[in-house]
Amino acid sequence: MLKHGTRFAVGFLTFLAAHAIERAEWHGWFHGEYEPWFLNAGRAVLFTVACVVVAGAVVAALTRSAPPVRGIAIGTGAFAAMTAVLFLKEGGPGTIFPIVLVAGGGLIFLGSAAGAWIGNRFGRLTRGNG
Amino acid sequence: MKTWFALVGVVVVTGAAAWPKSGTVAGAAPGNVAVQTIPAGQRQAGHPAEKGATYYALEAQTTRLTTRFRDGHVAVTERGLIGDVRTTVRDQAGNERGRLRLNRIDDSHDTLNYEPSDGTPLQVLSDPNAVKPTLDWASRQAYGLAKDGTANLVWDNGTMRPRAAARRDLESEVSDVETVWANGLVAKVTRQTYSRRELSPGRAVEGPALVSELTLNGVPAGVGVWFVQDQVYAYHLPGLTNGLVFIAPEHLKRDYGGWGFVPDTTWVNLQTIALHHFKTLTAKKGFVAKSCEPPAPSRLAQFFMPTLHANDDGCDGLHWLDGTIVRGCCDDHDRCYSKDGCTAKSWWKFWSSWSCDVCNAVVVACFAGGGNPDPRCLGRLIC
Repeated sequence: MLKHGTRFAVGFLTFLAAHAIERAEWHGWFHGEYEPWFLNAGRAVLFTVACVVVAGAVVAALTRSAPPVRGIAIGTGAFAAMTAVLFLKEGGPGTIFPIVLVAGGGLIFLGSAAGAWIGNRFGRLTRGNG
Repeated sequence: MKTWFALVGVVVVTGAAAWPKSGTVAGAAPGNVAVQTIPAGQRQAGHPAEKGATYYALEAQTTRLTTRFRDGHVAVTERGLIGDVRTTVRDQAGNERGRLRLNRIDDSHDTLNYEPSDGTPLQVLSDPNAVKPTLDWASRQAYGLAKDGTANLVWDNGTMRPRAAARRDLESEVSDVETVWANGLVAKVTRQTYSRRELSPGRAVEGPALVSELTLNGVPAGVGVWFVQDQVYAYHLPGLTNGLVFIAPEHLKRDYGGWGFVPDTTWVNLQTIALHHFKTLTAKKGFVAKSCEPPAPSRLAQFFMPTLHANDDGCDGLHWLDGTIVRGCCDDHDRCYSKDGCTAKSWWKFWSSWSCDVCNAVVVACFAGGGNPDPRCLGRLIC
């Protein structure tokens, strides 16, 4: 029963939370060598996408109506947060930021779509429709 | 079944014993020295506690080194055209205290002539196992002899000193060093103290620092700073680097455990000069990507960074892909931007520079084309 705005906010906050954790553990867990940013280290990429997948799955599992692309709102929220972080981080967006936006956006939307699919299947199973 | 197991076991053991070992040569005749091969991919690095071949190759291009000591003494060392090295030491009042001359005999042996202003001249053979005849070594050796005299000399950790004199911590006695290098590059390092500041989130530096200010033909060209207590080397070369770049122990920890030697005043100058030299070469000729040169950890093991950091620009905001085939796209784009003076704003201010638009169009096409790799790279499969 979550509205689009709420799902957008969930996606937005999910990315920000993932980014905050990456900043805190950048040189430790994520073996980061450059500035903290999820596309600068393989582990951070996996972590961020995993966070979006989980958020997408949880929201989809809680939502009874099932639009075919229900992960879009979460993906859009996460993408908005990603864009904001990219432009506001120290050092600026970098010299190939449009390519970074496309690459990061692709990963995030794939993650949110996968999460929505998983959550949808899980919700149908728990509600006995599957 | 047991028979089959036994048979397979015999085949495995026999095969392992008969399998040719890499790095060995069969059939070398007695009296001949076998050629030692190196297995593909095996890293050949120098001793991690020593400065490497790259350091000494670059040091050899230093033409004059002026070292000022805390007590006011000044040692000026110059390299002659045939590799000879001459040092003159003067005291605070400008009086000459001594001259050291180092003449090469062959690749590893030198003679040392020291003429004190108020004593008997001295001539000795250098110890090739202990002495690298750099300008820095000659300056410190001449200063030590001028201060302590030449009676009953012994070799101590690569430096001559009177047997009765205590070992000097010469680095701590150095106040500043000016290095005059080839191509009009001059670096002058001084000791300064920095208040606390953040180089990046989570990486702060403070305290005593060796600050090397670089000029090119008299014009400021950059700065390199060694933060002594934080073990961080940071540099900024306007026009060649995007902002401040730094190397901290955490960057070296995984492969090398940290800094393998203690950077000193001479190293900071030479490091900053070499970074400018290599970055300029990269910007002008693009030799890094075009020659398919991979990142060079073995050179890093020599603990001299410029060759590595000439490679280090990579994909801004997308460093996760630095090790992939699109890396060349990013390096080409960085060079294109550097050459035409573009910035990230060139993407949306597309009317401001057509050449920047070309840079951007090319990098997009390069990514879309899967990196459009150099055919030589594909052949060697190392890019």
